[in-house]
Amino acid sequence: MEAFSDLIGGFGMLFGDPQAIFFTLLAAFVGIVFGALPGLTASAAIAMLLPLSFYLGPLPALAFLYVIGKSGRYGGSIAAILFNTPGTAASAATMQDGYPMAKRGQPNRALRTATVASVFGDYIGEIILIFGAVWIAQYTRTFGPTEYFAIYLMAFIVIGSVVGKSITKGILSTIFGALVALIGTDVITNAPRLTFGTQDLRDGLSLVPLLIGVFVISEIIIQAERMAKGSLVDAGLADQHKNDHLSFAEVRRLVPMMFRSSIMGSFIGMMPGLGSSVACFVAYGEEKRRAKNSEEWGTGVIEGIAAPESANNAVSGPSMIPLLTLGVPGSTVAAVLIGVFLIHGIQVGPLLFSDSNMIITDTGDFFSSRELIFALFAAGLVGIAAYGILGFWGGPLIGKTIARIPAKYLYPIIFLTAVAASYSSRASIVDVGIALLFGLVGYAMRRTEFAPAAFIIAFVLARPMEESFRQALLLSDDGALIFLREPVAGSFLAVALLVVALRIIGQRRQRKRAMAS
Amino acid sequence: MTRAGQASPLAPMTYRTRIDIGVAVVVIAIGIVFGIEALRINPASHEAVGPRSVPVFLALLMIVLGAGIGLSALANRTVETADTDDFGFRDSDLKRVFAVIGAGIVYTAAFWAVGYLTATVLAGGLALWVFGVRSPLVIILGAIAAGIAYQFIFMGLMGLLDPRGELLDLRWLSRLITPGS
Repeated sequence: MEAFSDLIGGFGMLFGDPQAIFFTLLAAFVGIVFGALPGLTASAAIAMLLPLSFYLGPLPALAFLYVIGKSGRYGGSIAAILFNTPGTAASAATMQDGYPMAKRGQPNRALRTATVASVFGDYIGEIILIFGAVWIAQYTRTFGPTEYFAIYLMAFIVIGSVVGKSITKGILSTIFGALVALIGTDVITNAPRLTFGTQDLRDGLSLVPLLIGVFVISEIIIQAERMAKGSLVDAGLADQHKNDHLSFAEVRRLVPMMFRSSIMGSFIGMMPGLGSSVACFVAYGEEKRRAKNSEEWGTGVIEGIAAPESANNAVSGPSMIPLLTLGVPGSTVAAVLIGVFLIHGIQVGPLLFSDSNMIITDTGDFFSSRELIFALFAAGLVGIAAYGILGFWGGPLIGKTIARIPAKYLYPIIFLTAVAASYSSRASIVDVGIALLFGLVGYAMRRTEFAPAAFIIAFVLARPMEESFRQALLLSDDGALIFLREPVAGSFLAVALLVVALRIIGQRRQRKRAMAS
Repeated sequence: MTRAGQASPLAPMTYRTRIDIGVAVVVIAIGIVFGIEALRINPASHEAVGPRSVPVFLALLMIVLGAGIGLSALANRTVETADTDDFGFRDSDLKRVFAVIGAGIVYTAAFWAVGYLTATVLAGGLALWVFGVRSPLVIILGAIAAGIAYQFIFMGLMGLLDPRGELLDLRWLSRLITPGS
């Protein structure tokens, strides 16, 4: 009940800040466009627009990037349905029924099903986030460095082992991210570390050029290759129409399925590393198994669009729970948001929900971090409505417009924007070079089944993890045994081992099946 | 094949195996480079675990896991999995890859030498060419338009520092667009 009244206060704060409302609505549009561009993702959009948020107040900055994460996920369904190319990994399952439906002359019906299901799933996820985060934060407030180290280590292992196809390569991606994060000056002893004798590296690497390199430059390289093969978008489907509408009765029929898929997506979203791409296939598979018309799935049925879209958008809210309650980013969007919180001097973790944790802005306004978080939740709810309205009536138009922009003009613009954005974070030409270097690294990682998302999350987590490890050992009389003697820390480490064990067993079974066939 | 899934020592390697062995070599090399650099960290600290321990441990782990990838690839060298479409560089167009990176290197070098605006015009033209635009008029006009737009947005609206070129100070040009920069 307290959370509910805080949410009302959050709406008050959001609507009292015209800049925050403007950037929330702008984010709904920008996210859809980026998500709908084949190959580009919400993470790429956030990477390029992150420097812009440095010039905004905390609420507009956070709301802008948070809502781009949501609408970008939804925008991916436009590319999946119209171009048979998942705009984001989260939309890969949507293609299976969305594209056949569009191909037979029902693109608007497919797009509107995706919109309704995405909005439904996102609202369920957001409600779970609002009430779940407040409840969990009550318990995590008492955690110290020992528990935090165990949580960070669990996040490292879980994200590394589940986010990619290969466990070893996933964990190697996190180790590489951690080593890159440790470049710079040690915060406890002030000793320079891994700087290769270069003065430019003493301040460490910034998140923005890494994000831009790994998510944007690498994608530009891949798109340049595709252009050479002439395998870009298959457009024009939205011009053909035949029974191309979605009735209210059909929406009503989809509600129980959307609810089940949203709950599945929400639970998957709470697990660090398990993102929308997993949720969409789990929901698609489960609902296909339950369906009476399962043999029609894959030929263009609305259920085959509604299930994955509800699930992948339901991930969005709950994936913020580890960030807000523990300070552990469960997704790349959450990893970027940590950076925005820190730029505005706000420490992420359970104390975010404290009324006494005050924030003073550059303009002299002050509010508690709890008020800020509830205003961010309100922005999320407004953002969902905004992208729902835009997508329901404007989705086909956005899709058709994107299809008409020649990629040979679009990607040079993205390239110049990426370079400018990597320079703008610290006004450093070295950062531009780092973005290009990690563009090549990201390209190689994607070609060899490494996990760029795990690399970025590890980059964000590594320093706090090392600090909590060293602090815990300073407090310990038993050395490293403290991590096993403390029940909470021990439980998190046990969960990490369990997840790895289950993944190894699962992969071995898969391998045996593949060899047998 | 000597037994299901195990190859004879002379069996030919699959494409995946060859790539994974290459990956293992690169990972081990990166681990060694970070490891050597980590050993140069001054370990002096009052803590049980100093500033050197975690980097050294991570570099060692990287080398061990890299070796793991290599050994596992050798052990399964004839097992071709179904999902190899996007794997490796078989379908890579290296000319395009290096064209994009080359455009980026030229951008960075020009940025350092002659400043932001001129570098952006140059890189804009190069990027258009890399992505297949061949009309000289479109390349020239597009590059100039991009340079003006980016100068206005990033240096004018966002107020970023407009650095002078180390070899040639061309800020008199950029000040025509953003007088205050």
